[in-house]
Amino acid sequence: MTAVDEGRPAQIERPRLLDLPETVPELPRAGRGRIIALFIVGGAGLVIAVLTSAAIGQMQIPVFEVIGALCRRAELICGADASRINGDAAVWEVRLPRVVLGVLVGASLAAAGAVMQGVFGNPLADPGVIGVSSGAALGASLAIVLGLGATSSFAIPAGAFVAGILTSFLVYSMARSSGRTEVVTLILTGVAVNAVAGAGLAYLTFAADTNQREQIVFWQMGSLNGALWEQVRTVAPILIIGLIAALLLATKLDLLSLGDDAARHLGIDIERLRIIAIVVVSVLTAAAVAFAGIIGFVGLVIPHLIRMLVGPGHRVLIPASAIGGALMLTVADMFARTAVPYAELPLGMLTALVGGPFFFYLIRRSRDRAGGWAA
Amino acid sequence: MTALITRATVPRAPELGQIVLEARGVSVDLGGTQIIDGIDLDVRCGEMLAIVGPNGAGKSTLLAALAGDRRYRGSITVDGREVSRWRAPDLALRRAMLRQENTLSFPFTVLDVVKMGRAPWQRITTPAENERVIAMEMTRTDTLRFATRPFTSLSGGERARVSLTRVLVQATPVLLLDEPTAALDMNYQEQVLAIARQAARRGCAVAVVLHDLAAAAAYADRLLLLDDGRLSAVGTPAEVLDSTRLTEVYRHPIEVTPRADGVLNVVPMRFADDTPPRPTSMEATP
Repeated sequence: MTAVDEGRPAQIERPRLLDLPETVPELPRAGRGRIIALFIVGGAGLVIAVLTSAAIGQMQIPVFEVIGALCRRAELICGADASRINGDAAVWEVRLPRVVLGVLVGASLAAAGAVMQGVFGNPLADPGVIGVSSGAALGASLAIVLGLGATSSFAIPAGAFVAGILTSFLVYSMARSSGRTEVVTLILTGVAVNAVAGAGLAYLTFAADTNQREQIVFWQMGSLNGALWEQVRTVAPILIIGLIAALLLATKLDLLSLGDDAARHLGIDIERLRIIAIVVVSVLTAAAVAFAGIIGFVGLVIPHLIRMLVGPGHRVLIPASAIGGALMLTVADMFARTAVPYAELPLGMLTALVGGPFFFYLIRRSRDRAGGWAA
Repeated sequence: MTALITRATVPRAPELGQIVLEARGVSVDLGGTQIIDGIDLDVRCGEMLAIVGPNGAGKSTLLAALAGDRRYRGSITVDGREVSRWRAPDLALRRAMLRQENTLSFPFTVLDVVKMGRAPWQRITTPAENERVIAMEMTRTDTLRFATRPFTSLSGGERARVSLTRVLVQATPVLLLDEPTAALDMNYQEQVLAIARQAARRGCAVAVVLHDLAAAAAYADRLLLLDDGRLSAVGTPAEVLDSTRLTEVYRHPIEVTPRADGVLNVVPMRFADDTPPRPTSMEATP
């Protein structure tokens, strides 16, 4: 193109592209301050919430005695001695399994929500979209109606876990055609499968006797009531592996926000990533709801809140959501246990009661700021 | 999980004039209709090839096939190997593609978006080298000024330049651009095309889909004119842009006149105003 330049009249200067500088310009540093502050505040908040939750209840145990109970367990000397008989046992055998299960379930639901939103490129997606929750509810209800719940305390959770995972795989395989899955097809398939699962659930509720019906209804409202170490031990490895797998997907999920084609041009095997992400989400969600029942809005609200605080990068979003979800569920369960004397509020009801209006507030706020979600 | 993190092989930098993108007898069917029919093309390192033609001629489909996004018959080779046989991470080191629409699901900053373009190199080069490439390309496209703004808050012209930067930092021997100037004003249109040509001169084979024939003539080394999925003509702008041929392909009279300085003027015949304004309606509106 230099040849053209010579023939041109000299008086008109042709525009030129910017000259590159001799030295490499400095890139602006991303502000790490907020992220570090979030992890410190969230982590400290979680520790405080866990200790407080283990301390309060029908038998009030001072926080220092809770710390003391934990230390004695670990054969260390710290904290205060138990002031009551069975104080340590109450902390260790009754309160802590429940608190730990709440932490794990909350972390898993929120992390699964963050992965789900990343995979769908849509801040409104939650694990319910691929049918995990409705499938799990169906499986749990089936176990209840068949009377399996009476034979083993693991029958209902197992039914929920297996049915939740099978349902999400059903949705995925039905949405897939000629080796590709479109997000819209996947969501619509999820709507269809959720409707059928809802019908099945309605039938089981109808067919159940009074006692079973009560069990089905309460399972769907979610609760950490009666959690034991045995249950924590069963579900913890699954949830921890799932959380680690979710973290490993983080960088690739960032690229997905450019859209499927652009992510593929950057070397991502979209279908493989989507399958792995859906497996991770369904395992995390199914394992979380198996012992706790349906607990809504954690997976939707927490990742959204974290994204507003520290931005959409998944390497921060996923672990921060896990901490946030654990904190939210620990506080919600503490409230559920203690708000009404000698009774327990349903946990799922509480999270939805707080989550719904809060989500609405988030929607309004992001609309006012940026004119919508993704515009 | 292991296959997701397999190390990719780095391509050797091509020499100027070497063919890096080659298509032979490429045909593409979409929904039972043949969109592209037997196209041959070569793009050499150092040159910019513009793919032009009327709406529906198959320009974007051809480019998508070249990028490996569409099933095709015939053969398309990038860096000497069939596009469909490259693994995704290896292909990402060899060809970059700028799509017409560049949406973003979440409000990542401009810098984050450009960094995504370095993803294929993440395990290959050092972080310092990645940052150097990003800083240089952002300077080149003049996007460093708003690096910390959310991509979703940018204007159309700014988004287009950021997306172009994201594709440039991928540093691939083949660069495919699908209407990079659509919806851009004249200033940005000229800048984007100049940057694309500069990328070609620095050792890249650039194939770009364009609507503006005059701009294609000014910036591209060669033009490939598509007519209803078939090759109508290929060659230098002066060879391809012929009044008779364009009039036939676009089904509309088009005039091509070379200016004294060698620049081609491509002007369509304007429609006549054959419905004279009714005087009553003109008076009725205040």
